[in-house]
Amino acid sequence: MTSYVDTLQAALAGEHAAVWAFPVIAAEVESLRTEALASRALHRLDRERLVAQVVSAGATPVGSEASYTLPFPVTDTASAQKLAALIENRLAGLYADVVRQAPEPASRTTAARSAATAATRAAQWSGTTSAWPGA
Amino acid sequence: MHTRRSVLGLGSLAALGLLSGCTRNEASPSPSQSESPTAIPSPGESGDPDLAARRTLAGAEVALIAMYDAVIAKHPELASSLRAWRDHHQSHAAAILPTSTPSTGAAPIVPGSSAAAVKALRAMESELGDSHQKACATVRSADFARVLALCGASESAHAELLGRGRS
Repeated sequence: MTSYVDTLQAALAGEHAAVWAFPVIAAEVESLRTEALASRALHRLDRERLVAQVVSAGATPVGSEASYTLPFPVTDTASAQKLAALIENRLAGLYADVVRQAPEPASRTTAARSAATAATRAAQWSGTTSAWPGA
Repeated sequence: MHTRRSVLGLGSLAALGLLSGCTRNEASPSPSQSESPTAIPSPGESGDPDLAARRTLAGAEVALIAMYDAVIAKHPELASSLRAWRDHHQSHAAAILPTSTPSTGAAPIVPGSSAAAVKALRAMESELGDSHQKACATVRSADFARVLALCGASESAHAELLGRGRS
């Protein structure tokens, strides 16, 4: 059965991927460079928060991969925005999974805030949203 | 360049479900799938400790739907962007309280200008998002807490988009 720590580690792995992917967007699409690098900075902070949570839950934080596979080529503004929104949307789902496994109210609230932040960022990138972020 | 990375990077963005784009769907089912009938007792049954919260929050969803309907009726030029978000709330209400939701009383008052109407919707979205986050911390069912977190996340996104005047 999935534990709280498992969901934190899954979210952390997602943040590692986000920290890797936003510089790729910045490098490929000049017009989005500033926004993409700002996103990387935000996700570094999110990642540090999760590392601390994993440690305080008594586990060893998962590390990042050396490289990742993009789900589709990032070649222009549209594909870059699509990837950014996809990343944020997936993170919203991962944080919602943390909510489900959270052991007490405070950690539920923290994860729910992160899910809302991710869904908001996804909307900023894509200009749209769905009934169920993360699905 | 990224084709090469794709070959090398078998570590992949699988952490985000990005490889297939839909692998998360199995691990992260939509609320209608994750909330089995046993997870949500119907309102007629006793024993659901979250029933009062479900009723209150479903009522708030219905009130927001009514506001969307009223805004769309008064400002039809907004319908194309607002209708989808209105429907999101129907989906939320159905997940929160699967049986029929209570109807609200008086019709909501809609501001005369479309900008003010959008602003009013945005305020309601933010408020409902806050309610969902607060309730998320206190409900008994973990699955319900997850549903509320996702509803709150959706409302944050709606508020963001309403603030930007985009659809």
